[in-house]
Amino acid sequence: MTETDSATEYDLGADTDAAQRLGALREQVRELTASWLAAGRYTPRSDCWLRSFDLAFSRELAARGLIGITWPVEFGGGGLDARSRLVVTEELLRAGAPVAAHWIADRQIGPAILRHGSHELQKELLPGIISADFIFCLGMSEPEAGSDLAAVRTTAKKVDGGWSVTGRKIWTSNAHRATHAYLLARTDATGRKHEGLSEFIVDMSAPGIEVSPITDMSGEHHFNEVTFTDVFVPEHRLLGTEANGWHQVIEQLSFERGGPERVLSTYPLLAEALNHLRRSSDDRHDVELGALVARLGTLRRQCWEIAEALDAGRAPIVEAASLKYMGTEFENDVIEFARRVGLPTSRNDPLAEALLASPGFTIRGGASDVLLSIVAKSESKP
Amino acid sequence: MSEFARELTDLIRNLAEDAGDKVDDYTGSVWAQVRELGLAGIGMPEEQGGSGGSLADLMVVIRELARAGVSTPIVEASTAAYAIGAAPREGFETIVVMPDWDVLSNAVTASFAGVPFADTASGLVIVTASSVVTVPLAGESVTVEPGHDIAGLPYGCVRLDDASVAHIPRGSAPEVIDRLALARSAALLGSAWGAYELTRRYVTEREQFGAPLIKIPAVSTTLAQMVVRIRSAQSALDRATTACADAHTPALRRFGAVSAARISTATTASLVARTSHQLHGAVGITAEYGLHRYTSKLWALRDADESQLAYCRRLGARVRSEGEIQLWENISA
Repeated sequence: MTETDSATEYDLGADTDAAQRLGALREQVRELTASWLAAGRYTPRSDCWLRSFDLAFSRELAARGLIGITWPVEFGGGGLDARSRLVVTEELLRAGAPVAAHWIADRQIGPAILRHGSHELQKELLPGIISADFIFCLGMSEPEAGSDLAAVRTTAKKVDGGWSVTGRKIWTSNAHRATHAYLLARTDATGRKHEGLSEFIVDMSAPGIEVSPITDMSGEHHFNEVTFTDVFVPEHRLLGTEANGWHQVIEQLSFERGGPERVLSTYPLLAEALNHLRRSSDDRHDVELGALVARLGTLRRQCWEIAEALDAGRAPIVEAASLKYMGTEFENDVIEFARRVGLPTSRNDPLAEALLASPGFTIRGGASDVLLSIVAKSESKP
Repeated sequence: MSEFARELTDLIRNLAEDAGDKVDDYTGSVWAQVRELGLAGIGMPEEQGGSGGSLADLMVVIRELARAGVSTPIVEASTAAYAIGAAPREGFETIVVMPDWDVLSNAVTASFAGVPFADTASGLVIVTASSVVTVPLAGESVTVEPGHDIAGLPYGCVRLDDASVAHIPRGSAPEVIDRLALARSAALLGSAWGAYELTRRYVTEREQFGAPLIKIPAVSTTLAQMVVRIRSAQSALDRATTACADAHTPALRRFGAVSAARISTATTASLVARTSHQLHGAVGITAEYGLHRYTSKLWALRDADESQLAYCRRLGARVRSEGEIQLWENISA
């Protein structure tokens, strides 16, 4: 641990215990990523939290107690606060580490189960997420329901002992590797479209599920289309309250937007550009570098403020939408910076890798246009 | 952040209301009241003639004065006072930054363009690369040529002809420069809020095409873009305030946080000035309507002391010389 780091972790000020705890967490992640890097076990890359999938790495994190660190100790979680999770995720993204296997479950499914799941469901699922044995994918978007998520058509019908699910989900990242799916489905089609939605946890091994790959523009396969045909979901796998799914999923989306992966997806490329400038003693880009770094520091602070708000029991919905809007803009501008700096641009170079991933930044988890409308709505209130 | 933010905000709002159309009288009654209330001495200990309170409180005062559209020399006066170690009393000192310069002797011959409040300040603090000196703005060896900045505020030229200056032994130039940038950021942010609030009110009240303007999606989206950036600049300012308030903050981290605040508020200033005029239409351009009070200050202050470009270049150069580890652990932390 460096001295400066332990002394002043953001603005904890006199709370040196907290500062030391956070500093130690950072150091733990740095040691792990450094040793894997030194052993050639991974290559840092942009958009690692979606595209760099390595179960072995996720299990290493699990073995160190770094998954589910905010969850209750009762289920094997760390019982720590949101700020602790922030320092861990920030360091992982900085290192461009292979974290895609556990990212979704750790970020939003576990918390959703903690908020709305029965104790039975919590006991069944949380320990498996914490040990990186359960890998989740997100069954939200559909061919006819993208930004307009309430247009979901997949149905779940009551049957003996549970539900029967039929429908199609799309853009389901890593469904081909997942053990479980979170699923948003319609349990009642009689009311308005925001009503009658419910959330489920589905075993990906259940009969009737078919996963077809969708190759993205970079040539990589993380997207899938998932078809559900009369898939049986046991009664207890209903998450929360029947027909309360819209409220629950909006909450889930609002929380997941406020993390550092909305800022740091291209950080490894920024580091690479900086090293390039240092090696060539090139001062021609100082102005642009300074402007980018000013934004980086500010966005990291905004992530911190959101974590503080969560720890204080608030729901920073507008703050998270604002962060994602500005953070993903920064991620894209880092790529343009790397381009002007003169990093190589072959198809397999980090710059091209980031660029080909970049259109997704401002779409997934709430398209920028939708985010602005969330902010605008809160501003038009008298 | 500031424990007394609400009280200070209310106090300044009342003060601005009482001032009515005297808000532009920058060294008149409002400034006298600000001084009498000890607002410019907030954040300085009582033994230095200050009013106590925290640096965060002072930033609230500076921001809220700007937000209320009140023109005062509080940025210059409070920063100069911090540099000297004595709170402003009857008069106040103003301040200039000369980063590429140094003062080694006790007599100076030089000329400074663009000195804020040059014709009303009683003295001048000059911050150079490694020294902080003061000189009274009076006497035969000093000439002050009045002028005005983009907002119409005093912005003169000071000529020193073998003028004797006093070195401030305890003065640390980088700390004073950071404090000035911090205070300037607070003023920029306050002016941005002021322009935004006028604009928000205007588009919710003004009807065109049979409905309030805000019903037009392009208008509400533009408004959202303004407020998203203003709040982000507020986060940058809060971060920098925390860094400056704690004497144990490593200098590199403080420099990173302050530069980010200064750059972020300047960037926001440009967007807010342009957008608030666009959404107001022709009425915003008139002398009678108050928008120009904010936008002209945003234009003047974004490059005050040192330009936004200079801040970007210095931050970028520092990042390049320090490397990724320092970037992550201090400059952007």
